[in-house]
Order: sequence, then C-alpha cells, then structure tokens
Amino acid sequence: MSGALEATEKAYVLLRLGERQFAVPAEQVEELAAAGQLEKIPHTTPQLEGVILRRKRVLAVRDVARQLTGRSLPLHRFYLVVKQQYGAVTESEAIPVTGDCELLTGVVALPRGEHEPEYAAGWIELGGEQILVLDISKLVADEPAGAPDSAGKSA
Amino acid sequence: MISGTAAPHARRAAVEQPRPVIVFEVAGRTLAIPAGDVLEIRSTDSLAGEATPFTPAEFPWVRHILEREGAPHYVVNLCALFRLARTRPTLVLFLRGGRAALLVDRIERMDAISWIFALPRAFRGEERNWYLGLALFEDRVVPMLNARGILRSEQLAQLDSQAAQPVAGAVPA
Repeated sequence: MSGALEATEKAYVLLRLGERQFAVPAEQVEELAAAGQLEKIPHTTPQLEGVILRRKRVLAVRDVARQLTGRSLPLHRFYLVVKQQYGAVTESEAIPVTGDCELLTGVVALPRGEHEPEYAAGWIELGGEQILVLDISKLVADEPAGAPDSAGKSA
Repeated sequence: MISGTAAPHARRAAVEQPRPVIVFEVAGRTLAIPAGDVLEIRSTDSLAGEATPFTPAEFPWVRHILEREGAPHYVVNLCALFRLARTRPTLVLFLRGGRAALLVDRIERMDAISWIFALPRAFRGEERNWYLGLALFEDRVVPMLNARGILRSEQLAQLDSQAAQPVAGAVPA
C-alpha cells in the first residue's frame, strides 16, 4: 500500500492501544477477533509475539503498541486481523488491541506531515482530536534494528 | 522428509501420507521434528567420557563436540539457541544426515501429521532456518524443526575450523 492518502472520503477502523487511538484504512482490515490462545514459538523477529490459529490459518501476532505508544499491551483483549503485503503476496496478521474497534465511514484524511514517521499515512479528526492513520506495511519496515526479540519470554 | 515448501494458495506444505514425528519439550516449549530426521536418541548421561565441552564464542548454543564415525559432531543446546530459560536436558537427539545433536528436556510422544503450515512471512529472522513450518496438534501450533537448519553447512565448516584450534577458539562450557 502507498503511504499517501488521497483526499477522498474513505472508511477507517479506529483502534485503541492502551490510552491512545489510531486509525487504519478499512480496506486493510479483515476482522476483529476475540483474543484466543497465543502460541509463543522461539524466534528472533522484533515485534512478533507468536501465532494464533484463526479460521484454520496460522496468523503471526505483531505487537505494534510498543513502537507506537512506548509500551507493550499487558493484556490482549482483541486481535485486529489486517492484511500485510510481502512483495506480491498478501498475508493476514493479528495486531493485539485494547478494546473494541469502530468503523468510521465517509472520512477525509489529512496528509501526513513532512517530519512524521514513515508509518504515519495521515491524520483524521474526530471530536476535536487528531488521530494518526497508520500505514501497516510501514510499521514492519520501521522495526527498530536490533530490538530484542520475544523468544524466550514466558508463554 | 517433510517438505517445507508451501502451496501458495493454502500456505500449507502437503505431504502424501501421514509421516511420523517426534514431539518433544525444551524449557516448557513443545516442538516437533520428523522422526526420519532423527538417527538416535540417547540420554545425556551416556555422553559422559565421549563428549568434550566446546563452546566457540560465535556459537554460544553449541555445548559439546564428539567424534562419531570419524567426523566431529556438535551438541546444540536448544534452550540457548532459542534463548529460553535454562533447563537440565536429559536426552540427546542425533540427527540423520548431519553432524548435529540436540539437547532436549524430554520426549512427549510420537505422532503423525499429513501437512504443516508454512511459517508466516512475518517471521523474518533465524527461525526461517530453524523450522520447516508449523504443525497443528489438537489445536496447538507446534514448530516443526528443520534438522538441516539448526547447524547449516557453513556453520559446520566454521565449527570444524574452530575445533581444529581448540585452544584458541574454545572456552569451557
């Protein structure tokens, strides 16, 4: 997906990570699922917490909260299942979120600023609050180099 | 051997018929390995007098070296490789067609599987070498070890080189 947002009305999914809200273009979202059994497998990839089994598929669970808010979510209440692009291949991934998500339709997003992080696709305004629109694919690209992996953390 | 190549549409690696696998435990984690990739299972006690402590700085997960059939074999501590809590392994799995042996805590059971899930592309680290894919046992997702990915040929060559200079390259385990 391109990071640039067109100045047209689109639908966005509003998600909460701890105390903060973010938005994701609705076309990148598959579903919101109740948190199931997280299976931790040894690995060295930053951000990944493990995998879940969902609709007969194994989905990687990517904790983006630490990158976006500075702290991981202590409790997974729901998973937002999003489409992630790997070259020509699209795979689904699960992002732990704090609570229910909300679908916003007919929203025109503001473009991202020059000095904002790559994962910022733009902004939407909601009730006087500016909410960052995430480019999910750039969250992966922006992984901090050499970040500690989650292998070995308790299941 | 079970192929790790996934059918793109289903992201599953199919095999023709159920193949036996060994399900084992390391530091409380359950893993599996195709039974055909395991040559021999021995107790760690049986290595006494046969294996020499050997832990090159570049391979902190290698714990011992021993001679088998005229070639050096390397004993890998999976807890160290996977950065899991340290445990006291009781068994060693000698792998077929390679020169690696794996320290494991216990064998859980034998099982059989017909297919495995490909490892999601989100996993981009060393685990892509470690695993053939992910198996499903009674709704539990279990990594299927790739016997040839734990110590790859280039790593074996480095270890051989280090083993040839044990005084300079090795530190006590």
